[in-house]
Amino acid sequence: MSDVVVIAGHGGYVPLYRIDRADVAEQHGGRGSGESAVPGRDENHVTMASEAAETALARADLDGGALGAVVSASVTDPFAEHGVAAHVAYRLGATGDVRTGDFRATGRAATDALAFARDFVAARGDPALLVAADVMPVEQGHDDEAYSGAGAGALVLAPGDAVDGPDGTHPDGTHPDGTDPVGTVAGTGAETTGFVERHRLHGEAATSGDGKFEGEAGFGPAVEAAAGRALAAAGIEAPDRVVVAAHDARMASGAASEFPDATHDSTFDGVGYAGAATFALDLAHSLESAAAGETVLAAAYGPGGADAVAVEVAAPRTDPGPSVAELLDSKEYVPYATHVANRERFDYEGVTVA
Amino acid sequence: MSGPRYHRTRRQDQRLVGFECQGCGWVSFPDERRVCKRCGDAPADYEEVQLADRGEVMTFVVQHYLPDDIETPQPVAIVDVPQAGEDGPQTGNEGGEPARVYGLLTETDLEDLEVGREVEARFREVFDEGDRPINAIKFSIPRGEQ
Repeated sequence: MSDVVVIAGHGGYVPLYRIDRADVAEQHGGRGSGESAVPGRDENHVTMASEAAETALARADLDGGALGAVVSASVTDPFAEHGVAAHVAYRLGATGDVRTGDFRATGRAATDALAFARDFVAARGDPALLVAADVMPVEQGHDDEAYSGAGAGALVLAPGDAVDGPDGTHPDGTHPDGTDPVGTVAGTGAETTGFVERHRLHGEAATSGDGKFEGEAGFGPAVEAAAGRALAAAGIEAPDRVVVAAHDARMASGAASEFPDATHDSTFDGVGYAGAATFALDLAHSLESAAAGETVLAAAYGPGGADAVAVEVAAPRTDPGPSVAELLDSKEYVPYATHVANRERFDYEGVTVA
Repeated sequence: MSGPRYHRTRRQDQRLVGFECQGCGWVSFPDERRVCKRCGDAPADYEEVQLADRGEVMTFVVQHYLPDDIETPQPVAIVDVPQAGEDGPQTGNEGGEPARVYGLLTETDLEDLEVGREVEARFREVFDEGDRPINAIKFSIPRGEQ
């Protein structure tokens, strides 16, 4: 069995609704540009993750029953006991002897889940699904309010041999239809620091602390070290595309600018920060945008450090859809009150929520 | 409301599984009946079939007066959902009869809703059981086609 792991499918999900950040600014003063995604009233972590997972599985041409593991990542799943992964797994038909796991508590959760899935595929030889879904809470008037997003992303990892390049062949045909996989997970890197400045209680807005200090002492060195390790492991000097998932868009852009020739793929202007989901959503968006033969460096930062993964793209797919770009274009704006109300739990039919 | 109620029908609610009478081809959804509603076979021989992720609106009503916690207007429709084809993500009995499915619609502009309109299955929260969300299939006009 090869220890090379490929991305067989990828998918993103962005809710239909958006709040114009200028409408948030109008409530509390200041200025706002761009927009953030607002979940529908009947959407939750499991439903959004399922949407992204269905796209990823369809592109991998796999049934859920072929999966050996389903792992989830979220920083806003409201349940202490319930989970996301097992519920998504059932929806997809991945039941029985299927490993599940829910990663939480840091923006690194998605990369933690990815690392687990990669190791699982390498060790067991069965495909694994990673889903990440978040609905960021809002506190009216908080600095983060306008940028609190929602969304989901998914990746299907599968065993395979090294991809020889855009013109090369793929001897094992790891994609079931005989074509090349989307890409190869060529290298991963981590930098665990234990450093925490930003933190957040369940259901509340984050306490950012000293952002400048976090950037200089936390985010900057952690992402640099993790990215360097991932690139070194992959043998890539400079990536063609960069994804940086972080709560602060300026920090993310700053890290991406360390690779001046690379394209920075980000959904921040249309989605906002969607917690752990941002990594998987932005990576799916990047893989949809990439050309065969390009390389993607994707990093995620959160309390505790940073992780990075380097992907060699072989056969990017946008079908079956929808692509993240299509989801970003398909939208309806909602008023400020809906943006606030839809992020909170609600009662149906008079049933009291304890 | 209790867990067993949702456990019994979760294949139908979450995966759009129907039950085809082997005597006459009628597809029961969501119930696994003992007696075929059309040919009367008792006990009927049912086979599980996977339904497609798109169907056709046969009729619909729009509810305007509902408890405060439910968004209105709320369209509900009868949707004929064909069995999944061999080329679909899950194999099924292509060519068999469609299932007649009663479903809520979500994210659908009333001006775009009409009999004969194609709708797609969406996995959504239908209500809470206490704190626990109960997720099941709803329908909507395909995103981007509204």
